[in-house]
Amino acid sequence: MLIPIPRANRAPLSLSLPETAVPAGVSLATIAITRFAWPNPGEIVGTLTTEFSFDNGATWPWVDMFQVGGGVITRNGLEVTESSKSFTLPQSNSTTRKVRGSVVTTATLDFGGRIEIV
Amino acid sequence: MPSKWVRQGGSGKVTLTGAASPLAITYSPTAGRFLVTTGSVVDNGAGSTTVTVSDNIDTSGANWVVQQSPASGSGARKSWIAYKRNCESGITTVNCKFSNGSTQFFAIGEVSEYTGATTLGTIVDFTDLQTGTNTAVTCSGTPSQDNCLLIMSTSADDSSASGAWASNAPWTTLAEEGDTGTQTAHKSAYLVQGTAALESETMSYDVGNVPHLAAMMAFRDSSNDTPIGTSASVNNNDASMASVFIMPGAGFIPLLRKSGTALQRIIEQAMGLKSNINSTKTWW
Repeated sequence: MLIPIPRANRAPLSLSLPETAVPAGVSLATIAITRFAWPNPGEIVGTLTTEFSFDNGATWPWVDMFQVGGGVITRNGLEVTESSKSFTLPQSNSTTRKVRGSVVTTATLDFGGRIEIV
Repeated sequence: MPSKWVRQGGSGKVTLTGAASPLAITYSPTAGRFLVTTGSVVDNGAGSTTVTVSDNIDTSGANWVVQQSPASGSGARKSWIAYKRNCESGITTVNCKFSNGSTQFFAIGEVSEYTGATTLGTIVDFTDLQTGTNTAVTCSGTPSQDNCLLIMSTSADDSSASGAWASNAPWTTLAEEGDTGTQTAHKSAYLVQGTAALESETMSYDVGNVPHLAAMMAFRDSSNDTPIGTSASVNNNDASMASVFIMPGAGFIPLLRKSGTALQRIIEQAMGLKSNINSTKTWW
């Protein structure tokens, strides 16, 4: 399943991602953000926090925080135009998996992207 | 009370993508516990990076000890294992700092807390730092005593494609990352060994461009702090009493110094030495 994120210039935001069941059979999720002239080089401008539960939300043992820097990111002299993050989801046959999280940005960011679930 | 290693909790994985040092890991451990951070870092190509660790209480990092893997590739990719014994009260953030002038680091790290650390002497049993191939790296070592906590931290080049780490069962994964966006792949895991034996662990990632890098450390627990010859008493030929208290790492502490065959035999047996009850050698 591919969910596109339309490109837009988005003001700072703080979103809570509600507790959601992860369907059986899903083993990989990817979020990819395309960067367009972001401000604040060197600073963390975006944080995606994700928690996973394997017991229907009774416990949340798996925590993953993904922090993205501003400015133009380079690697070996080449611009990195996309910040992406993949989650390999264990226990793919389970029917008791859940995910929740939050997204916080601290600057106005021009971005688009996609979410892929396999 | 002497006890074996138990992981009591951890921060989960924190990933920094293209931002300045430090990698700040939010976590509030219980005071007195053994605190470990593992991770990997690469910069945007500027050069060598040295990792230091501090926290909001120990701001200079004086009580942290950092071990780093060798480095390879542009951006000096490397992994680290850093630990602190008997951590202070009030820690809420562990900062992993990277030394060079870059303002763009790509790093992955986590913090875990453990109970069971030895209270005697040296806690590090062995350290093994390795550079592997483009698809795997192996660290190994044989602890000198039972029940050691082994931790391995590995990085791999991930700049060309997204890959996957192979399983490391029965090791327990602390943090694992394998996607292109972070510019470095990382895996760290731990194992509480039972009987001391050679531990050779390979971490494999299938799309590396440069050699994998790894650090492995073994830490001693407190179950071995138990005295192996406790208050051994002997009624010697002069009818007085003598006791010895023997602790590994601390040597043996004579509570009352005596010489003579019966006392000598007990000491030798406690230390695992050959006993000669006819010997008249004086020990002290």
